[in-house]
Amino acid sequence: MDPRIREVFARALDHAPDRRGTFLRRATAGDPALRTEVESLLASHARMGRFLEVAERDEIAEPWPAVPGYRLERLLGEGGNGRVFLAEELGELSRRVAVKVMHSGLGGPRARERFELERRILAGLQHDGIARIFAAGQLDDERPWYAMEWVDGPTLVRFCDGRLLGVSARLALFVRLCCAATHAHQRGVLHGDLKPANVLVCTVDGRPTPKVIDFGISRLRPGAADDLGGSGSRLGTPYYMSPEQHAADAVLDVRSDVYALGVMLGELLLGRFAAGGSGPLAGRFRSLDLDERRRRAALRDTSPSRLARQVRGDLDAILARATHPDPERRYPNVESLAQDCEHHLQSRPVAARAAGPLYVAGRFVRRRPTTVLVLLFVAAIPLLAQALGDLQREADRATRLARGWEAASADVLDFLEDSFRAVEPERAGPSPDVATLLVEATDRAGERFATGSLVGARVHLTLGRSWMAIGDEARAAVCFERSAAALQALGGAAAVPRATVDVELSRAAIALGDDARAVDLLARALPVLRAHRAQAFEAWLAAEVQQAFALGRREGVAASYRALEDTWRQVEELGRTGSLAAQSLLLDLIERAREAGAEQRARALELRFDELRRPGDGGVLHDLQRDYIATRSAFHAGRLAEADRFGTSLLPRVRAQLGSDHRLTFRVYELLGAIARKRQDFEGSVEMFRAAHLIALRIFGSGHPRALQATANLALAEIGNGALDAAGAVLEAAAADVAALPVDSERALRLRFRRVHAALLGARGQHAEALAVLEEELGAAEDRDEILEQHELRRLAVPLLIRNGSFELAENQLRALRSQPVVDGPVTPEAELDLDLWEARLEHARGHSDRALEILAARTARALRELGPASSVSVDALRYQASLLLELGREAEALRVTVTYRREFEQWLAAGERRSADRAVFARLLLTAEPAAARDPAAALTVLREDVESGRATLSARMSWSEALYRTGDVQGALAAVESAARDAPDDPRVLRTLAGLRAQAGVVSPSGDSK
Amino acid sequence: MPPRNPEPTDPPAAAPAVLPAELYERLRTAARRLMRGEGADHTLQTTALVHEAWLRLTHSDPELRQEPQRVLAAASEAMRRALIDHARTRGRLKRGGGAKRELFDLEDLPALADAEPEQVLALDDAFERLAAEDPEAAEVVRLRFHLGLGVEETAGALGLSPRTVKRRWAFARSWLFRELHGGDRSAGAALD
Repeated sequence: MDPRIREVFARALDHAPDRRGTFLRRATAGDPALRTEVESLLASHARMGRFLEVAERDEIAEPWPAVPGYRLERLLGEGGNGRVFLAEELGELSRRVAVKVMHSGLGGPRARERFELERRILAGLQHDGIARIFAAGQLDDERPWYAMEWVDGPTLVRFCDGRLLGVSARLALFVRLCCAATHAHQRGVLHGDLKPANVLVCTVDGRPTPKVIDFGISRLRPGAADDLGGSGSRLGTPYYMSPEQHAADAVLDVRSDVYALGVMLGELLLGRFAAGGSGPLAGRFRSLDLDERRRRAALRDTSPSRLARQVRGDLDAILARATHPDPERRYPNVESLAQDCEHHLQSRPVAARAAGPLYVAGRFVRRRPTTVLVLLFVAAIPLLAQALGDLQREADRATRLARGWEAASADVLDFLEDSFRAVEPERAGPSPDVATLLVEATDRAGERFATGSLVGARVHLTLGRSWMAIGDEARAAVCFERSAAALQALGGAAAVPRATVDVELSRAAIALGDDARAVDLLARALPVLRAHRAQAFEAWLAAEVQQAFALGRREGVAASYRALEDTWRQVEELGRTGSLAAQSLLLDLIERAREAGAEQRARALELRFDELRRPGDGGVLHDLQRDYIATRSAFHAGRLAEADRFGTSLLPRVRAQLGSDHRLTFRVYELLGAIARKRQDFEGSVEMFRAAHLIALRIFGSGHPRALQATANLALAEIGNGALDAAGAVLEAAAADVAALPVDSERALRLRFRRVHAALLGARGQHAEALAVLEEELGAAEDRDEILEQHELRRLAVPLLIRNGSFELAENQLRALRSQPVVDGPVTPEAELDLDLWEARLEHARGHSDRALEILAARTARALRELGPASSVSVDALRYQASLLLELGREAEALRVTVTYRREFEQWLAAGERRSADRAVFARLLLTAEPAAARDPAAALTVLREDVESGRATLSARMSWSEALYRTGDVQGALAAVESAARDAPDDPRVLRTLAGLRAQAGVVSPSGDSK
Repeated sequence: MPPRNPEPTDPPAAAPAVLPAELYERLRTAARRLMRGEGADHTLQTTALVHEAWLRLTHSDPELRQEPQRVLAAASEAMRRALIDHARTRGRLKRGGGAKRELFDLEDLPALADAEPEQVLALDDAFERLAAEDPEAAEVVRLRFHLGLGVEETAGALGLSPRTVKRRWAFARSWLFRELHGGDRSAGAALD
C-alpha cells in the first residue's frame, strides 16, 4: 500500500470536516488516484460511527459538533468531561476563542451537572490568572458548551524550559500562579486538578502571565452555596493529587490545591521525579544520573551542583511543607505558601524552615552548609559515632595512650573540617563530590602527619573507612597502611588500635583479592581483640565476622554460619546486642542462615533484629538496611506489590546516602530486579540487573564470584526481555572468568552459567542443543545453592522434554520438582498449581485426556479446600475443568462437577458470616456456569435479594441481579435495576450499554435518554 | 563481606505453564470483550476461551514467554483465532436452529452487537487483507481490537506515540469499514 495514503488521511482528520476538501486538493495535487483513495476512506470514516470502537474514547473518531455562532477550527485537547476546540467567533469581532463541548453519550445527569457547575464557576471568577468565560449555550442534542478566552501559549513548564528560566524567575511566576489560585479559593472554588498542563502562559503587556484553565473537576468548597457533594470521588491526575484526594470519600479543602501547587513547584524547580519517593527534593535530584542532572540544570541555565544548592535549604523546606502527606502539617492556604516563596526571593527567613531537619544539620556544620559537607556528614555519622565510641572506651582503660587518642578526637574533627573548607569556599568550577573531597583529605593527611602521630593514625583510619564505604578498597588500603605504620612506631602500647587497623586492612585485602595477606593479618589481630573484646567491642566483632567469612571460603557456608552464630551468642552474653556493630553482625548472620538453608532461624533472627532496633538510634545505614530487610521479607512472602513499593522508594535513598558503589545499593538493585521479573516486568528487570552488574564489576572486580553471579542474573534478565544478542554478549564477555572459577568451591555458580547457556539456546529455538546441555548437568546436588540450581534446570527442561516427545523424562523431572519444593522466592498456591497444569499438559500431549482431567479435578478440589469456593483461583479451576469436559463431549460430567461445586459453595455460605462480595461471586457462578444446564437465575435472585434490598450490594452484584431478573423473564424489573445502578455509576460503560440494550428490549424510546 | 548467594531469581526460560497473572487478566478482559461480557449465553465461556488461547499459544511455541512483544502479538493472534473458531461453531449451531439473540450481547462491541457469525468471519477476512496491505495498521488492530489494549498501552507495546497509534487506528477502522460495507470509492460523499 502506498504509505502516503495513511499519511494524508491522518492529516486530513486534523482539519475541520468542511476544510478537508480543500486540504485534500492541495495535498494530493497531481495524484487523482491518491485523492480518490483518501476520499473514500474519509467517507467511510464519516459513516462508520463507533464501528470496532473499543471502550476507550477516541477523539479522532468522534464527529465534531456544530456550535451556533462559532466555526470550529482545530481540536485543542480533551478533558475528562468534554473536548476543547479552537474556534472563530462569527460576527464582527471574529476573535478566536476556546470552545468546550461536553462529551456525548457518556456521563448522565451527574456529568452534566458537573459541566454546568464548571460554567458557573468560571463565570464567577475574574482574575488575570484565570481564563475568562464569554458565552455559553446548548447544542441541538442538548449538550452544554461554553466559549472562553483562548490562551495562546505553552504550558507553564514548557514556557520555563523553553526560555531557560532560572530558579528565581520560575519562583516569581509560581507566586503569580498562587495569586490566581487564591482568588478562586476566596470565592469558594477548589480547582482539584492543578497541574502544569492546566496552566498556560501568555504574554500580557510584555509580561508573562500564567493562566489557569480547565476547572473541569473543580468544586465548590464544602459549606459554600450549591455544594455538589464536597467529597472527592477519585478524579484528578494522580501525580499531582494529594493523599487525601486518593482516599475514597475524604472531604477536600484548599490544602489539596496547596499540595498540587507544591508538586508543581518541585517540577518547576528540579523537574519531575518518580512518584512515591520521599526525602528532600534536592537530595532526590542529586541521586539522578549525572547526565540527567546536567540536562535539567541546563534547562535552568545553571550547573547541577549550583541548582541543587539553590534548592537545598529554604526551598526544600517550602516544598516539604507544601507537599506534606498530612494536610494538618501543610501550609493552611495558598497565600502562606506564596508568602514563603516571596520571602525566599527576598532572602528573608521562611516559615517552613524552622522545623526542618536540614536546619539542624545546617547549624551543626557551623552555618557553613555546603552541598558536600552535609552529604559527607550524613554518610559519616556512623563512622564518627563509632570513632568517638572507641575513644571513649579506650579512655576507660586510663592509659596514657588512650588519653592521647581521646585528645585526638577534636584534632581529627578539626582536620576533617579544614579539609572540607579547603576545597569548598566559593571557588570557581563545579562543586566537588565526595570522592574528590576524600582524595584531597587523603593527600593532605599524608603530608600533614608524621609517622608516630596518634592523631594521624586516627585520621588515616577514618579516611580508610570512608573509602571502604564508597567502595574504593585500593585507596582504603593505602590509608590503613599509613595508619598501621603510624601505630607501628608507637610500639606495643598501641596493640589494640593496631589490631583494629589490621582487621580493616584484611577487609580491604580480601576485596582486592589478596586472600593470603588477609588471613595473616586476621591471625595476628584476632587474639589481641579476643582478649579485649569488651573494651574494643566493635573491632573485635569486625574481626570475628571476617574470620567467619574466611572460614566460609575454606569450608563452605555451614561453617561460616556456625561461626557467626557463636559470635552472636557471645554478643548476647556481653549484653551488647543494642550496639550498632552487633546489629550489623545480626544482618550478616541472617543472610548466612538463609544461605545455609536455616530459613526458620533466619526469620526468627529477623524478628529479633526488628525488636532490637529502636527507631533513630541506628543511623542512616541501619535505617536503610532495615528497610532492605522489610523489602526482602515482603518479596519472600509473595507480597510483590508491597515489595516493589518498598524497594522503589528505598533505591533513591540508598543511592543518595551511600552512593551507587555500595554493597547495599548493589543488593537493592538485585532485589528490585528479582521483584520486577516476578511481576513480569522484564524491561524493568533488565534495567535493575544491568545497574547491579555494573556496580558489582566496580566493587568486586570482574572475575569475582559475586560479580559473576550478577553477570548470570543480567544474562537471564536479558533473555527474559527477549534481547538474546545482548544476553549472548554478556555471557561471552564473562566466559573466560567462568572458566577460571575454582572447580570445587564454585560448582553452583558454574552450574548457573550452564543453565543460562541452555536458556539462551532454548530461546534461540535450538531446543535440541538446549536439552543436551541440560541433560548433561541434571544430577545430584550437594549444598543448598546446587539444589536451587538443579531445581531451575528442571523447570527449564520440562517443557523442552514435552515438546521433544520425551514424556517419560518430562515426568521424571516433574516428579523431582514436586519432591523438592521451592525453597526460595514466594511460594504461592498458584505456583504449586503450575506444576499441576504442566502435568495436565503432559498427559494431554500423550493423549491421556482422562488423566489430564483427573489432575484438573484434583486441582479444583485442592483450590476449594485451601482457598475456599469464593476465591477466583478456585472458580477458574472449576471452569477450566468443566470446559475441558465439554470439549471432550462429556457434558453430563461437566454438569456434575459444577453442581457439586455449587453445593460446596452453598454449604460454605451457610456455614458462617460471609461477605456480600462472596455472595456476588456465587450469584455470578449461578448465572454463567458451564454447562448451561447448571445455571440457575432463580437461585441467584434468592442469594442476592437481601444484599440488594439493604443497599449493601456491589455494582457488579446489582448487575447480576438485573441479569437474573431478565433471565427469569422480568424485563421491566431488570430495566429498573439497571436504571438505579446507572444513577449511582453514571460513567460505567458496562452499565450504560446494558441500559441501552434493555431499553431497546423493553421498548423505551430513548436513544440518548441517559442525559434526559 | 558479600553474601555469596544472590537474590533469588526466577528462571525466565522455565515456561510458566499457567499464564502469568498479568497476561492472563489481559487475555481474559479481551476475551470478555470479544465474547461480549460475562453474562452472555455462550457455548464457550470466557475463561475457557482464555485457556484455549493460552494453550494454543504455548503449544505452538513454548519459548514465547521470553519475548513480551511476541507474546502480545501471539496472544492477540490466539484470541483472534479463538474468536473465529467460536463464530464458526456458533454458525453451525445456528443453522441447526439452536441459538437465540442474546440481550447481554450488547456489551462492548456496539457495531458487532447484532453481528451474525458470518459478519464476524467477514470482518476477519477484511482484517487479513488489511494485514497484507498494511501490516503496521493491522498490528494496531490486533492490539486495540483483539487484545483490547488502550491507546497508551498500544503505543507502549509498539514503541509509537499515542498520536500515531490513534491515527493508525482511525485509518484501520475506516479501511475495514469500507471493506465490509462496500467501498464508496467514487466520491467523497462526506466532503463538501
